[in-house]
Amino acid sequence: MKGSIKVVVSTKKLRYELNLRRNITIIQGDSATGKTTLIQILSDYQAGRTGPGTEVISNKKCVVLSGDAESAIIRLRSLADTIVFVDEQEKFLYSKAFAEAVLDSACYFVFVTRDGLNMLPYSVNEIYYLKNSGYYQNTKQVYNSMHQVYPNREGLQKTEPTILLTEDSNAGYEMYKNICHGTKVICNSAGGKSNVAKYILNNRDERILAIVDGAAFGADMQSVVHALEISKGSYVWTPESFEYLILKSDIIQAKGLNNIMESPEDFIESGKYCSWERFFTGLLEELTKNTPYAYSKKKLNPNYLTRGNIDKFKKMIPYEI
Amino acid sequence: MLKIIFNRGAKDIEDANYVFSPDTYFKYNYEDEWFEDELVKEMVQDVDRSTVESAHSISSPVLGIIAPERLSGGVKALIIMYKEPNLIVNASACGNNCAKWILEIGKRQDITIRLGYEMEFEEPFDICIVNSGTVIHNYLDFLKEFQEVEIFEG
Repeated sequence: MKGSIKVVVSTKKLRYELNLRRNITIIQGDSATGKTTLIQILSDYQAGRTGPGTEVISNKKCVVLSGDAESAIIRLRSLADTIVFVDEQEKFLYSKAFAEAVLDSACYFVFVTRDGLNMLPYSVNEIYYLKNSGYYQNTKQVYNSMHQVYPNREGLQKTEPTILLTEDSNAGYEMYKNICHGTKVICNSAGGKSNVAKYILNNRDERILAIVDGAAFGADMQSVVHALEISKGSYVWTPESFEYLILKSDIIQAKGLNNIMESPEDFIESGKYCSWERFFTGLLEELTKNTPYAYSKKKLNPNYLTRGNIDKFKKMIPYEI
Repeated sequence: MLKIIFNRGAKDIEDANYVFSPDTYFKYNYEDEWFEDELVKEMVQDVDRSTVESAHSISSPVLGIIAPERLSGGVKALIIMYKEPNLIVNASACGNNCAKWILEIGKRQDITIRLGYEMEFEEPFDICIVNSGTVIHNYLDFLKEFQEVEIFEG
């Protein structure tokens, strides 16, 4: 599956509108905002119990998975071209076997959970809460819409960081280390994405700019945001991935690339790529294969580190370093 | 005192008194007299914006008159914590709007809850983190304790 998919769920009293942009969407937030009710309506509709007055409008089939892990995973493996909803009350949602089945699947998923699903690479941009927005167009329906928990900040931010922190020491780290070279900013790696929040908490006297791959950082974002609230003067920047920035930076030119970068959701097949990060890595590898810019995630090709290319890359960073 | 077991990832709490799904536990075990309690009424009003008329009739601004089974998962978890303090309730069923009530219940009696995310508790508080045995009083220590817990992916 690919592309943005709209789902409208409607009863006489309630109306939900969801817009799904990628394979995994998370819904969380306060109690009593209608998350479980949404799942119950979908489940009743799917089972043919609702009768007239309840509608689920989408160009894709919507299915609620529930019950024991074995049955749920067997059912999931039989599904394609479907939006799969799972509530937080399903134990299998947190299991490794289910995570593996999700990664193998060509479906889209909506998970209602507050706990981080660390085995799944979901985006910080696809974590939402439901907000009651009053009555829908002069009806008696209470209208519930999705809002991003971590909305993007626009514009150049002034941070004057003392430390630039990356998730790991792969290719991105090498680029940022070169950007920091000759400045007072130290470039450090957290040694894994689940260590970023801990690093910030343990270095609260520093002004840290943490740069993470937003496309796969969803499970760790809450901890980082909480750590930043306590560590004034530090920030997190969540571009899709390092490879996304390279592709956007004009270092690589290719026919059709701009179209892909403008609306990636129209090009990323969920069955082939479990996250946008994987897609952009694959795309960069493909476009640079057998060229002087041949890309490897483990070790950055030195041709990306010329003065001109570093300058092009720096223009992508909305923070002054 | 409020005791919290931090639990991250796939590993479940191995305790016969653990309630993974407060919603399901509530459905089969709630008692009518629970709804005569003033604290229960206050929690239902605050979290669900609903008024307890009786044990069989709760007035919801969205759903109309509902039975207790249709209360939010969060408020059901709070009621179980309060009324059956011997149980270990999965507090990930509760949103941040339940945090002040968890602290309130913990002031009134000893309870132990399981938590899998960084719920936003307002300082000051007294919370015992069961994983380390440490009693903490501020949110920085709460976050640090949470980060010390291994994420189990087995």
